Amino acid sequence: MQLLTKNIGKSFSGVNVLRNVDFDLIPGEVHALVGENGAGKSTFVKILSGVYAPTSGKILLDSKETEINTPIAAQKKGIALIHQEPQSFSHLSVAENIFMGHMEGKFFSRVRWQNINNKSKEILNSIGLNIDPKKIMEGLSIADQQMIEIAGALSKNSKILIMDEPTSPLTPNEVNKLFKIVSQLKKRGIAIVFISHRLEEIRSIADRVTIFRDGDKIITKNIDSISNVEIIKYMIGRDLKKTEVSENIYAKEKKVVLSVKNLTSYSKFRDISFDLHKGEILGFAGLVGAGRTDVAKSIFGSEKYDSGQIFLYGNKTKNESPHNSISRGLVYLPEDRKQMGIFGQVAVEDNMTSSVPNLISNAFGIINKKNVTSLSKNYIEKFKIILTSGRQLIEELSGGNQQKCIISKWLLSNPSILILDEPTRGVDIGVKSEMYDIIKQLSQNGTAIILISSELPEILSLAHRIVVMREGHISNTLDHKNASQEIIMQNAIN
Amino acid sequence: MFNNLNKYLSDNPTLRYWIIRPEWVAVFLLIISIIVSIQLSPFFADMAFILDSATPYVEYGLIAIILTMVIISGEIDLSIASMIALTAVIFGTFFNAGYNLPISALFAILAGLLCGLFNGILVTKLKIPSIILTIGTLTLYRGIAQAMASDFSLGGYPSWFVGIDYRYIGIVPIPVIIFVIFSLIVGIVLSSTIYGKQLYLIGTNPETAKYSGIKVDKIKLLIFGLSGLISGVAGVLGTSRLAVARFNMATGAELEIVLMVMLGGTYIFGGRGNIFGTFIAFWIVVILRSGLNVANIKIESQLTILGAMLIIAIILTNYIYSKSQK
Amino acid sequence: MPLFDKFLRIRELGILSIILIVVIGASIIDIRFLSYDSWRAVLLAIPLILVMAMGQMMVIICRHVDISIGSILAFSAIIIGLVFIQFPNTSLLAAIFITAIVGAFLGLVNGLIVTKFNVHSIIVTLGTLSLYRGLVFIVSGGRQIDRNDIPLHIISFSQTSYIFSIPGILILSTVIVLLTHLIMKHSIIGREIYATGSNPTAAHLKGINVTKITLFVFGVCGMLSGIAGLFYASRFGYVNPGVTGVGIEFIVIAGVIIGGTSITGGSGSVLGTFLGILLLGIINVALPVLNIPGGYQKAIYGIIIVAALALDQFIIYRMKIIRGSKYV
Repeated sequence: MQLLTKNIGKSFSGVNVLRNVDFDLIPGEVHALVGENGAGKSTFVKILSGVYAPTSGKILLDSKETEINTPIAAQKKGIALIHQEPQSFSHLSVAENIFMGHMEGKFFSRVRWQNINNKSKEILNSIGLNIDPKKIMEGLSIADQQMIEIAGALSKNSKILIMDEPTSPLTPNEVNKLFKIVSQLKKRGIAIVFISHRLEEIRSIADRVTIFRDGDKIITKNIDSISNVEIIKYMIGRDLKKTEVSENIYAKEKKVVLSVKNLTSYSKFRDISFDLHKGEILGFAGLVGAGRTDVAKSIFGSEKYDSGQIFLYGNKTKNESPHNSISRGLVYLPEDRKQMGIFGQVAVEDNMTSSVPNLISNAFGIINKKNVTSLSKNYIEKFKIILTSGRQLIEELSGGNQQKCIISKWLLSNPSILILDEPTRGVDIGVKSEMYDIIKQLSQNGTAIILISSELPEILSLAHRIVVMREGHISNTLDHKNASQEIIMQNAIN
Repeated sequence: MFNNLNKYLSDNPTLRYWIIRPEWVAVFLLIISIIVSIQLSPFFADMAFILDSATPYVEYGLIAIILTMVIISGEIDLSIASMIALTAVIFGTFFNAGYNLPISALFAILAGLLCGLFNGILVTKLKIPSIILTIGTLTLYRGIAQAMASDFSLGGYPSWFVGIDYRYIGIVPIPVIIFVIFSLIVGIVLSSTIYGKQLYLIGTNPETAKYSGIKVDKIKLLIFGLSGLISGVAGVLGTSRLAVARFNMATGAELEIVLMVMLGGTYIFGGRGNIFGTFIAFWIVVILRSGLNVANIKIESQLTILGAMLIIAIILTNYIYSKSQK
Repeated sequence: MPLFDKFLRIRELGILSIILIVVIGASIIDIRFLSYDSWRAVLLAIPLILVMAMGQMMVIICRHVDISIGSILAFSAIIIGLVFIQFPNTSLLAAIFITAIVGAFLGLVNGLIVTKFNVHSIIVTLGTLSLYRGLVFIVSGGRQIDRNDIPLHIISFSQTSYIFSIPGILILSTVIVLLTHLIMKHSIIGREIYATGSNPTAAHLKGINVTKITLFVFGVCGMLSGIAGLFYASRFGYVNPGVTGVGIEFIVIAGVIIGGTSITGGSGSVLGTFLGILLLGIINVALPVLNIPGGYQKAIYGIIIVAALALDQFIIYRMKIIRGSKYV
């Protein structure tokens, strides 16, 4: 099925977020969409899948003009959206997950179990997945859940699959598996729209790439006739300055602020040992699921560990709580911003001062509102956070600005050790480089930083040393001078 | 014109925050109920009469103040009425077993604290959702009360104790004074101290609160304990007022207490609400109930009206909060 | 066997074992417990609660709760009582139909408020619990419906035999239970109910009309509570506005929760609910045999429900540990 859009535009309350998008999709092609956050690619894809209705323009399927007003309408027309975080019914079976919502019959009709079980088996086999359709969904890995969602799309005879950053939660093995399935789907004439931030992956799987920037579609090209540098250039409209690792001026002191010995948590990681020095940026590389976040949480005290020792400034500490760690100068910026990083419907000021009750209240606990405002204002100006006022709700800010607020919150507590878990996830390139400057500045001031990141270029441009984790243990520790993307990957993969 | 008003409010978050609030609905309802009651009986124009009528409801009012905090923190406690009964029965049992009055009262209040902490431990350590846990404990506590007192009325208190409510300072009954002071103190704690602030943050996002170093479990445990403690106080006060303690005291009190909290504009999902609203709602309930009593409307029909009011209150609160989110 | 399935089987086996323990224990203490009369008492006590539990189970699977069912029962009982007074020749079938409609209506009101105004069902039904109870008083004028008011053929519905010396009330209850099982396990709407409770966002994305499903479960719950109102009139021979159905909601919810339906939604079985209710019924009958005063019943029920909740969480905790093992 051919898809064509002419002049698609979308505005929310008079604000134009998407303008004049002409786009085409050929059956059997993998078409990548790239762009910074807020560039419009998510909005565009939501229009195609019926979540939004376009404010202007038209969509043509097989040369016929069609209206796609709801997700159900899109599905009926053969367009399916595969979400980044798969939405499954964990209490139901695989087959039910595949067929829920479009089983034969209505209301009190009997469920034809044999029918849907057999059909599910067929579809799963056709994409190389060997799961018993009667198995309950609970406990299946995210990768499997994703593939079952794809199976679901196939069960509805979808001709166009839209995948929104499907590889973020996957290990490289699983990514390979996914790409194999994608090639098979291509052979069946199904077209795939693929949103990703990972240029290497796009290069290996996509036929064409379309670049969005600031609500406009900039260009569409065959993947072979455009280089990564050119892609980035189109994405940000300017040259990206390369960052170099700066020297650790405290290196001579060799002051160990955090020492971890044989840390083990039975089902998550084992025998983790490393030292962190004053002023050092220690990168933690590894695949998603290698256990880096679990280690960080155990050090911070929000999760328990089973054995091993942690020494903070030379003093042994036990299974503490986040509260204790913070009071000792050890803070953690979580990976999941929405669930653990911000208080959504709360003012920016209150978010920023939420970890430093002592700074904003007196002996009786009465809050000093002036302090709250002035402390926040400090960082709002320092980091150039874009907002209407300090009392604005933090969830109304963009991802990058929210992240700046969270960093401010932690800096207010004057930490000596800062653990950053994927600090630039969901942050656009402009803000990203601002954050790199902030991180470097912090290390210059003597703060020790653990930087957990899945973006190798990021780690390579910031970290003095790099710890590579693989399947729950440390496979190697590298000095930045000896590291490269290939070497890190070698240590991170089986 | 409406659109202009909307836009003005959207651009001015502080103003929007202060104007679009459920508490103003409560104040509005209070004014309406005063007007309606005065129609029903001229007594209501007399302040002293209103203050007098409030006395029996102070027990519930005190609990409603604490329950407001429980709900703001994202939990709920439906076992409050059963805790009133259980602590009252314990009070009566100890007294009739020979312990002197202050000691018996102390034991009762302590028992309330323990019941509250039991709720709290099961919610924080075992992670049982408070909605179903307190449905379970409301059965358990009432059941223990029934097992202890059977169908007996535990009485025999000295005459100075009975009707402890009907002491006055001027025209104001002492219980009402206690209630006003209590509300003031808790209100200040909730709105202006760091403890209150943290309660709101916990209700907004408990995970983020934990990662921000807020002691979520400890605070929730404390709040549940307080809920039990104040129910114990209410149990003793109620026994004084009724002169006896029975296992079926405060039946249906859950509705009235929750009504006070909801009518005051507290958001059931946590993170929003305040003592001022609950305080106003207390008076609405007092005036309404007294008005209905005076108009000779039967208790059962009063129930209908209260039930309807609860539903309208939550609908309006939800509506207002969803509007102010935009 | 998939882990979750295993857990459900364990739960049902667990309740069954407790039932056996209680039965054997009580029989040892006093052999009369195994007598026909005792069992008759149990079997006649549970249909009312069982039928209501079927509806409540559906509501709880959908992540809601309905505590107004006692008032719905009373209201439909009063209505049918008044109908009997006016029209003593009302057939059993007509009575079932009327109480079902009345109950369904009240249930749908609950559902409408929850869905249209997006408010929490616990507060809504706390309100309607009193609202409906008040209506019971208004409609009945405060007076009770007596035994003379209820036609003989209605009373006999729960006393004498219809088929094979089984009272009609048991037959109808069994039919309702079986129907519920068929619908929940093998019909499209049943699976959509589980889906909605398991993941409401995903259900919506897949095209399930969540509003329709919610209205359906509240309506059915109300309908079954309405029919239970007829059972009440038949079984007890009176309807008292201040007494009928008061407090019954907590027994019903206790049975549903003990039976393995989780308040977090998406899981629950008819068999489990049946066993949970059965356990409560057996305890009720075993108490006098064990010489435990009736006043202890509530406390015992309370202990069991809290224990069941604690056990549930403990099992979830253990499963997380087992499943959480990625690498060791």
